[in-house]
Amino acid sequence: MNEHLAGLPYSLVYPESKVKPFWDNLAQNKFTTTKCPKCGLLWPPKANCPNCGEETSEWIELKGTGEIYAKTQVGASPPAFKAMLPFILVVGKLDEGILVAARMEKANFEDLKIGTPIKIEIKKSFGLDSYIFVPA
Amino acid sequence: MRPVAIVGVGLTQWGKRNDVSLGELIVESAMHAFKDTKGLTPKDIEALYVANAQSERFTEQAHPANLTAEFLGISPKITSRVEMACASGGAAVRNAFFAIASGQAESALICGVEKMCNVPSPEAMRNLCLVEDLTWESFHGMIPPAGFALIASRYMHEYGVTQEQLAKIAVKNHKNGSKNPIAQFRKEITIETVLESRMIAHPLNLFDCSPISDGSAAVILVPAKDARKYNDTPIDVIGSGQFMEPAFSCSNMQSLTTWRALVNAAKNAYSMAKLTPKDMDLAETHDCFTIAELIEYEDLGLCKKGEGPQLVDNGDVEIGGRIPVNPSGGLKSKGHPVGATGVAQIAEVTEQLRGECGPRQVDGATTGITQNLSGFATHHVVHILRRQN
Repeated sequence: MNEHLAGLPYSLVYPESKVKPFWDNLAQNKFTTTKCPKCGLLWPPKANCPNCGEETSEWIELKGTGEIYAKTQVGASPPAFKAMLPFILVVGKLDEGILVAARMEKANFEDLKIGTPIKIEIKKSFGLDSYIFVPA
Repeated sequence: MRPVAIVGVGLTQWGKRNDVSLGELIVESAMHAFKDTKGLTPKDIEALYVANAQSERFTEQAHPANLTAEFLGISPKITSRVEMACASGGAAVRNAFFAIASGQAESALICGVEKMCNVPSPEAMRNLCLVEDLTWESFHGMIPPAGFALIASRYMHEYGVTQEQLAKIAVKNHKNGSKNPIAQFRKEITIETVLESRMIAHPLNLFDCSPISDGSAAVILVPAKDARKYNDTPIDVIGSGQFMEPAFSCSNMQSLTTWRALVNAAKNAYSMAKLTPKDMDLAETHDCFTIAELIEYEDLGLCKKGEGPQLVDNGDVEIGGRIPVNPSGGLKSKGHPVGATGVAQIAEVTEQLRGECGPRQVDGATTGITQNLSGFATHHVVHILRRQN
């Protein structure tokens, strides 16, 4: 395991990947994904379109706004997440139509409904560039 | 393709098994399965499939199929470890089915095994989180119960189900498991037990979730034409279906509440068996979480979409009901040693169709169905079994 991964929940999350620009863009405060020239936006970002195999070279900045599609509050976790318990985890449906899973902060779980407006907030997690949802 | 039959099944005691090694656990179930036949021995086995998800993580031991060959003293000409996470067992049975059906083997042994209690439970949960997409889900705290909790939140929104109705599924499975001598938990519970247990991922509490378990299960297959030589009550495998969605993350599933992979795996199995859901006398399904069993009623076609909660309220899925589900106690009560689960489902339905299940027997059952899933319900294996005439 690389030194900079110490303290991470999993050893392979760092982007040794063709979609490394996703994290570079996060560091520039941009939430982006790849677009297939034939099939449209992909999530998670992929270097080849799973629908047609085409290489995707274009990065599109997403608005980051949307609504809750599915939600839960997590009360048990592997050790790395213990300090965050309980945390809210949602699947957000972004305005562009894609579904994104992430933790949600700055909200009471009891107040959240399917359809509650939310937005992406770019925020480091375990020292890595990452993202969460917050109320819109 | 030639017809295939089951002539031997065996299970170990499930639960915490710190009295045996991984190899010894496999031998226990395998030897029970051989004793269940009329005279088959390990040396007769031509094809060996070992269903195991994570022996490297839980016991530090890789290559469990070769380990099995040494412990049983066998030299199979077709062999493989089958790793499909929680559906390893179902997938292994399907592979063995094709080994016999194709005419390439005259006998096949499937051993499913997982020894999970060696590690502390937080580490076990971390291991199970490796089954999800590390970068896009696990890194965000997506534990397996959370994925099914997200599914539950959608089901509640689209069709409506209460936590009490989900709890009834756990109560039923504990009641059934209390009559299963190998079950990990043989204690009956109440709706309050479930509702008052600690929250794991809302709306799922501890008692909505299957446990961490040690255990093994084994099944022996032969060509159906030879089956009576080895067992007085052969059980034919008349349908086998499998389907995987092109989705790894739960956010890429076509629908969280209608599992496309299950609908298709079931369709393929029913079509091979030339039967319909109405012909099923019982089902052993993958109740890793209560919400999973509910959706499985619907996507296996045992009731219409959205009617799962009524099936629970009416008692239709109880032993003695219209379509008993998980008479073994299911994953919830019997336990969930991941690689063994799908193999044990085949063993339970086999014993039910032979009429050997004592106090948890589904009276007069001749045809049964099994369903085993992995991931966030993105991959399913379905088998249909029938007592040979």
